[in-house]
Amino acid sequence: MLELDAVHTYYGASHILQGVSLTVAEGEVLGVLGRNGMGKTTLVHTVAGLLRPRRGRIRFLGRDITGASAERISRAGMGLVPQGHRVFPSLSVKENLKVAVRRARSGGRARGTVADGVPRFPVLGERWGLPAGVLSGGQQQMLALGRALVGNARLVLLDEPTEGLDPQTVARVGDVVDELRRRGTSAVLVEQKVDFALRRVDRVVVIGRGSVVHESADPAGLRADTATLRDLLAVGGTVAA
Amino acid sequence: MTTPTSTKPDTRPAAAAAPGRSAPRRWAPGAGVLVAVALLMFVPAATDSFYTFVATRMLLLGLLATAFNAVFGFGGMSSLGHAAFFGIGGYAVGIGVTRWDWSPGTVLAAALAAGALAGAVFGLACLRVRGIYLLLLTLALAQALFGLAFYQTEWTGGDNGIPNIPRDGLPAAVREGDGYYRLTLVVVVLCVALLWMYQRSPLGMSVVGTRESESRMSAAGYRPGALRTVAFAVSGAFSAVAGVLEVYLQGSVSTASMSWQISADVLVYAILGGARHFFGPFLGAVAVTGLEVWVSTYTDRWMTVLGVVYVVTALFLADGVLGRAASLLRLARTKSGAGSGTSAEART
Repeated sequence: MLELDAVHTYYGASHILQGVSLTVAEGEVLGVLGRNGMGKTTLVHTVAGLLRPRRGRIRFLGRDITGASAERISRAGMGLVPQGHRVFPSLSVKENLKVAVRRARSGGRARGTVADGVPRFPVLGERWGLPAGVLSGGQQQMLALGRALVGNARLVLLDEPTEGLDPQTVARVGDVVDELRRRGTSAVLVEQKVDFALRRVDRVVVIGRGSVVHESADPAGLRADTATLRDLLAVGGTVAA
Repeated sequence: MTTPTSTKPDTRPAAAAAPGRSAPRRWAPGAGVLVAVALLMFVPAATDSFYTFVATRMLLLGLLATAFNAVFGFGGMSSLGHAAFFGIGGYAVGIGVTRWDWSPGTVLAAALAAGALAGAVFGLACLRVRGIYLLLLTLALAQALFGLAFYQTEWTGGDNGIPNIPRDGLPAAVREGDGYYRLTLVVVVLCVALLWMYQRSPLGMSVVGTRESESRMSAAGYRPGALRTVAFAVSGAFSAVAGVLEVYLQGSVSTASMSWQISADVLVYAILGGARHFFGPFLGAVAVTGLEVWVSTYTDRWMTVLGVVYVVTALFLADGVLGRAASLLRLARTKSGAGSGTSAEART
């Protein structure tokens, strides 16, 4: 479904992604782990079309999307939940969901509806007419995830969706990842919470200094392998949830 | 955890199902506007011809400010070029009526089309610039059109403009003073209503989204550049209608209609009234025009007084008069336990 072949991305003169190659299969949830500053968000932005790679190839659903605009990639069926509870603060909850539905093409799937974002997050229904900017951080993240659900994309990029959230909201985010999997939606889950990610993904890659330094098709095994985790991610002892 | 496939959850949003606002209250703003418009119809009966003239200008400048705000407040794009659209509407009357004897309907259609076209050109030309550079580029484009009007004397009359533009095409009942005021009121109400609907439409909503984050809108499948261009085109079209009303009122058009000072004035109207609120710029236009007339009857230094008002507004009313009023209202509602407002209140 998604293939990256030796992708290089720069911020000005800074060489951030240094030949990342990875694949995501149909219906697969791929975990992307790595320490801060290793290029995880750059990877997400490059795949989503918000950054243009300087070298390498990206293919999505069999089509070359290298250097394509973000809107084209979105319409091809890729959804993005950006880092940091990014919503449209002066649009209402309902309007935020509408914006996500309106242009969604979902790569051939039926479009979702605004109401699709509500059952998973009842709190959104309660805040239906409020500007998203007045919601709490956790509620904004629920809205951002709701936007991903109503878009009904073929592949969703989740950039640190649990960042700064309380445990209860983190559990909700986990529910959404599980639901995406049940729907057969592919996902790329970029996470700092190692245990959270390893419990939910089918496969995992670790990014270090702009390239894939470890790949595992056995997340449960990696979860138990504290020595390797310590080497790769500086996570010691029992991995935190 | 309920999944959408295992059960059929009630997807009806709680706020929509139990909105917390009774139906009569939801209709109250609309009814209030209707009553206000009905009362405004009687302004000429309550004042003399001078104040009717002033009220007519308040209305058309209010329309210009509201149209401007489709780009500025809702689109998040600073423009110092809206005099160009206002002038285009004015010259559509001047040239169309004096050269080709156009009817008011033809003039209006031509002004709408020319204003929209000019707006789209401005929008396309400004795709790659933001902030202060956008301000400068719109100013430069408007000055280019000003120069065109200045030097094309055969068509525009140059600096002297086109005087004595007849209102013969207008129905007799709305040709002069009171009647023209009522015609202006109807046109302005109609245009403002259309702008309101545009702002509430998915398209208007998307333009607001672009103001908030172009990259997020791109990632949602939108073309921010196209949305910005549409916002300029809509704004240009309705600004041109304000120009049409102005020239029918004044009976002449000159390069003064395209002066950068008009662009600056309309920016002040929006900031003073509250650019994040739909009716803020209209209120700003009415307040500034009224202040100009009122203060100038007492002192020749009315510009100084207005300057002080602008400074006070900038210092103490960052979101304009309407913004301040809305925040006070929200505060009062919160204290009385009525809950927060809707996004509509936050944006309009």
